[in-house]
Amino acid sequence: MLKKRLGMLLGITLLATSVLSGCGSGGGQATEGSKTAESKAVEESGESSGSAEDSASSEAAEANADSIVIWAFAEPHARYFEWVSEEYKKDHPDVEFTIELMDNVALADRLSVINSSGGEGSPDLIDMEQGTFPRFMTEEQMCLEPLDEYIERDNVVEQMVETRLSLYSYNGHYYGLEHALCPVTMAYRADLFEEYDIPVPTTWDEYKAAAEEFAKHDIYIASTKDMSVISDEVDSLSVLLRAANADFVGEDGKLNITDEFKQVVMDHIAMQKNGQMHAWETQDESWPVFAEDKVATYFTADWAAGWLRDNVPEQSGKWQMAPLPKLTDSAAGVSVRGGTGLGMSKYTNKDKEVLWDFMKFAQLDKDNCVEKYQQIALYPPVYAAMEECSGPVEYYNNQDLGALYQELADEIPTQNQADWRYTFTETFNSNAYDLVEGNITIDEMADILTDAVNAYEESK
Amino acid sequence: MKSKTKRKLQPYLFISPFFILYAIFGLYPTVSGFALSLQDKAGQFTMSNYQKVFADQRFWKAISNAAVYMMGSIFIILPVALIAALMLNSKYMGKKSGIVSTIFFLPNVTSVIVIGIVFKLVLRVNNGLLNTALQTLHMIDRPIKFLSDPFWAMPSILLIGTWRFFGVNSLYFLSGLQGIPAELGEAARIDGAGKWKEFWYITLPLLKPIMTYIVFMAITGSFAMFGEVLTLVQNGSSVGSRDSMLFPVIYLYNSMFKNNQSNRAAAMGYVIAVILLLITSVQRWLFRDKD
Repeated sequence: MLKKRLGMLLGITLLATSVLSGCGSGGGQATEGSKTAESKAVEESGESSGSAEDSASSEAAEANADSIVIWAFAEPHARYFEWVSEEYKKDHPDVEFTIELMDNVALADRLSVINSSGGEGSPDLIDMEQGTFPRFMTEEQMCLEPLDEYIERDNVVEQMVETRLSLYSYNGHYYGLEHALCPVTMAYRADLFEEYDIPVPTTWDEYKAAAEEFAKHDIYIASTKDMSVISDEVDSLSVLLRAANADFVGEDGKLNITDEFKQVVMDHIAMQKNGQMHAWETQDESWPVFAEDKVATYFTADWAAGWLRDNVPEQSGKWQMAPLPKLTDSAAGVSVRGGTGLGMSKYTNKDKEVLWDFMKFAQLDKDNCVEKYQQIALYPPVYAAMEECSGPVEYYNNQDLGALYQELADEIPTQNQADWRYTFTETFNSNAYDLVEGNITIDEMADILTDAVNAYEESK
Repeated sequence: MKSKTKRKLQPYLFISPFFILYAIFGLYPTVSGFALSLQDKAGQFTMSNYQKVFADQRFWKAISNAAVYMMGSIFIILPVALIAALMLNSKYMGKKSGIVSTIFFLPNVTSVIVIGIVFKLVLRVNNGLLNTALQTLHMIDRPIKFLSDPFWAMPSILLIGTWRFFGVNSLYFLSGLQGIPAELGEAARIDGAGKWKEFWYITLPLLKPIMTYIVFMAITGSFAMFGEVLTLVQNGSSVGSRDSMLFPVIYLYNSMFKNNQSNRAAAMGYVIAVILLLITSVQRWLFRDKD
């Protein structure tokens, strides 16, 4: 009797264990060549990581040691690589590919470990998110192959928007080919601006004036992350600063806390506190507010422009896109946010000419760039492809967003990189609550940030 | 091989798998990590990594957070667990104690990621379960920023810890309680001891062996806090306002993986280990058998 009870108890516990701890992702993520079932697994799965995936990917890689291994962190990118590798194989039937999809943090952590262990287990090509790149901007951590020779030989600088290429540069060398232009412009509710007779803002001061006007009608000028809760809001604020060449990462990679930085931070806090700007903790909270016609503008990169369509489809035709309000007189009408560069591992044992040939095919070929735009909506940074990525977009009242992005392409500012970015962001986030609550001033915040970055630099 | 030699070797062969695995996955990283902590990035010998760790205010903030959490574990989580164990051990529970024990144990087998996500929903500012409940009961006017306000960050983590660990600790206590001979309690009652005296002079002293283990686990667990906080902050680029959720292992991880300071992270690991050794030595001294 006792044994039976114990057995039942054990059974229940085991069942509960498997149910409760089995909430992670399952199944392998690696795909190779013509393995269609596995390809499907990539298409259907989201971001994930873990031992099951690792094991599956290792098995796939071992199945063909000559296979070019590509690490990707985003499902749409992996899907594109699936497609483009198949296209590439039409002319190069002897080349095999293994695409491994993993979580972005896991990808970076694994690369760090690979670096520390001499390169064992490295992929051949790495799809590296721009925010991850600074982690590898030190001599001992740089795991990518400099591409200068190839870039110069194939005249890539003239084919691609230069600022998108320089996003993956460090110590005067290029390390990656960008997927997307990532232009940030301002989506706005044309109907609301018209109804309340408020001019569409072209400067930051006009934007703040519009916020005051909209507040009188119980409408928020925008819906943004709550500055006082744990968030990466400083990253969003950088958008305006970059357009005004006042990013906290200076052109020389040094800390650059300008008056504009202080102004933008304090303006955001003021607008959130005054109820002119809706503040959310998680973005899911913002869509119902959009749906109630309570939000007038939305600063968005091309890759996020579809989020409005996906979350508030009923507002189709009411939104339009315009250049960003300018923070300073000399600011650009467009900013930049995000990006992912395809880089070559310095540990690869494959023929680098073959790898570069595939990189060009995937990232620079006009037709493939157009196909990528159609497949996963990443507007290309390649001039030749821009023309074919234009056309009316129904959601934005048939406005030609592609044409707008093309027009603004050469104004796209540089997104400066620095290895201390993580320290800066962490320090900002750790003190944002006190700044919002008035426990510290923006000047004190600037001092705290400066001290943190200096301490990081000294510790190197 | 002679049968005598064979017999001598046999036991070593039987226990060798553990030692081989331990040497590869335990001993080698330990020694290698120590060597790493004594090197600069060029591989030259240096003590500067330790100097930097000792001079690092954030490191001591992390240690202080772990110490606060440890005290919370010992003085909040363990008493709650003991009360639960006493309840389970009482005659009133009868046959129900099995199922109740299983329910108590469930949080311990729940993935830490799931716990983090669920508690993030419970503790969030807008429409968080706890804030909504407190507002509905008119106990607060405006939502509390449990995870942002430095005052509330530690109590929030302790709340999660209590939920997660009181069950398993109560089962440890229960096993200790069931090992106490019933005659001792009966003898005490015959001598006129009340419930409280019986608990204080009989039950509690006899629970000391199991309590030594539980407190030891609470101390090491506090310093090894990682998953819960990492999930709560989610984006990983913050450890709470004023580093209110910065714990030693998280700081070590960030130093290694976010800031690429592997030598310093290795030194940090050793300093944490020494601090833990000191604390647990004090604990063992306090829990020593005076008789």
